[in-house]
Amino acid sequence: MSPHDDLAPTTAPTGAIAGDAVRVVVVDDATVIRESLPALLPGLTFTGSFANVETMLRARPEADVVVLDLHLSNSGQPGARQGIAAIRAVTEAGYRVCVFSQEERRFVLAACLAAGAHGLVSKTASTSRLEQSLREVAAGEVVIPPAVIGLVEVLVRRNSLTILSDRQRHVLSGRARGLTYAEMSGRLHLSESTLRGYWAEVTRNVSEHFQRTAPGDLEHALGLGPGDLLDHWPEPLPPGTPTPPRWADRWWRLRRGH
Amino acid sequence: MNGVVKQTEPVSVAGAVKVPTTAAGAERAFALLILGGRFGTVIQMAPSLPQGMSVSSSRSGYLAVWLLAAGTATFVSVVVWRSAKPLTPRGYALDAVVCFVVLLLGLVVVPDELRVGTWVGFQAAYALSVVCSGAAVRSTRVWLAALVAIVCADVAYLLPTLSFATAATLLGNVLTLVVLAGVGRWVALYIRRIAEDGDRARAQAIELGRRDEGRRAQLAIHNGAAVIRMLGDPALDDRSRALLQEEAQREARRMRSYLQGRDHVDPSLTPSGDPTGPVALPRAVRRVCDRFSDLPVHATLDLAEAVVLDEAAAQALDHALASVLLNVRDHSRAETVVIHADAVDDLASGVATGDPWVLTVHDDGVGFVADPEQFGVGLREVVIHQLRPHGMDVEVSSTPGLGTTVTITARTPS
Repeated sequence: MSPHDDLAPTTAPTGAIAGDAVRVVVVDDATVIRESLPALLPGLTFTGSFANVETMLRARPEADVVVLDLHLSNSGQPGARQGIAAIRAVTEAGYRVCVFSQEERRFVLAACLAAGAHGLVSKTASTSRLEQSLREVAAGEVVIPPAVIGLVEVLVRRNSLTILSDRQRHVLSGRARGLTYAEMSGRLHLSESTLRGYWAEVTRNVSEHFQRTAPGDLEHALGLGPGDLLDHWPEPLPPGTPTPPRWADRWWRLRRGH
Repeated sequence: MNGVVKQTEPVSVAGAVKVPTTAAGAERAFALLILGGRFGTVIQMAPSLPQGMSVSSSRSGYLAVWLLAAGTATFVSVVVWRSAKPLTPRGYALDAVVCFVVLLLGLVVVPDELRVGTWVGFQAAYALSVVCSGAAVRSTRVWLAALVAIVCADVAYLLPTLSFATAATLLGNVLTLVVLAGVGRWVALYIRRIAEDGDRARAQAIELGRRDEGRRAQLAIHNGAAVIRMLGDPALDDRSRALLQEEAQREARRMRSYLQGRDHVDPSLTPSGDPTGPVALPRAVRRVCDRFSDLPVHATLDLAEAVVLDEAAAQALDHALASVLLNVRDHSRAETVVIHADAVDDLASGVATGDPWVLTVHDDGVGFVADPEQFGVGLREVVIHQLRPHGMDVEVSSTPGLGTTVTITARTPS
């Protein structure tokens, strides 16, 4: 995906998952991370590495996905944007963002999705999982970690998130329990590709829901105290704001009748 | 079986002899009955010996028959006393033959008019004692043959005295032999069967106790053995070693409790250290997860916040879940472990069927062929069998290359 000043969709890199060249930009204040990722992920094409978002946005590198650390402020760049502000700045520039952080608090991770992030990968993940996640984000999918999947299931079960179909709820239930597509395929009698399609729809719906939900609503649904999420959650998008582009013609959607 | 005999509390017979209530004890009781009957008969025969010799047509013949009967009865008494069991079939056959001879010789040495109602004609009483001695013999064929022979000889012995006046008495005497022999044998066999059933029940109880003890030992040491094995891994990093040491301390406490004959109670599982208090399911699960923080565990427990376990169930779940995570740590090479708790069963039917809860532990590791027959001690004893008494069912599904799912299902106590 190339950077744009607006949110106009670009052509989806349909072969990105299968191993086509995926262009990646790294934004991390840690030099070791910036310099080691290209060596650890030789299957990806790194088109730039930056210590902060501001420098990256000035350079406007070509990229299908931006690997973004959440914590970018340090003594050398105390004013650097970080957290959800950094995510919003990069996504509003038209990039797809995969947050790469040690952050494990699920509300913070969910807030990243609310800020527009397209993927969340822990720095404790294996390099193979990181590469797979980056390819999926580049291909237009939303990558959600297990902790947030569990949070989403709670919201669905408490009727805070009501836009999912029965099939999507079943897939969500399986993913929340850690089941693989192969395991779910046997239980739900659906092909793995169909299940991946359902999951892609779930993640997209969840991402949009988070972006449009006020923190107070989530606090109520999750039994939190008033204001507990204020420090983490971004302001919801105003009504009428177009959502990020959908890859409406993705191949799995043709098989929805399964 | 011998061990069972020694462990059985003996009962007192006549305030002196202790007889255990086992199959061997029953045989000994039979021996004592035979001893009493046979020796008692000899004692009863003794006073009439002089009179019998004086009225007999053959003084020496009467004495010889008397000595043969008394000697045989004494010999049988000694044999059964020493062997602590009834005569063998062969021994009883010989005893019956002697009785048969004594009865027939009675035709010669005892006057006709003294054969009924007197101890001069001791043969009928002697025959009765022999028939009773055979009640517990371990061969129905020998018992029956001996009974027929003795009854025939008794009839022959009494037949010369038959008259209209004595017919009923003679018939009654012969029937006494038959009836007492039959009833005696039925009772003896019944007592023997009860005693043998008792022995089998005791042996089964001991075997069950032994198995239960073995199972308790396995429960007590299984996780500890796994922890020790992992601690011995030279490639272990410091963080994992510290966590394993914490787990080792816990398992050591469990083993010490087992060795001291107490059930392990972990006060840290209960709120505020209350050793008898209930525990919320998420809390019980998180405590185990805290001990396995080196594993990539993601726990989603919100949906089971209302589930509360009693102390015993929480202990069992703690041990079982630790065993599962030890397996994951030791064997799975998993990148992600997801622990999920759900208090509403909407997976299968979409309809809540009460208050069931489901705890799922899934890892994306190497998996294995999930054959319940091949489960090791950890899954079979520590996980499945330990949770079942607390109303928790366990299902293990695994596919090589796809990971493993352990599903624990239960209902909240009412």
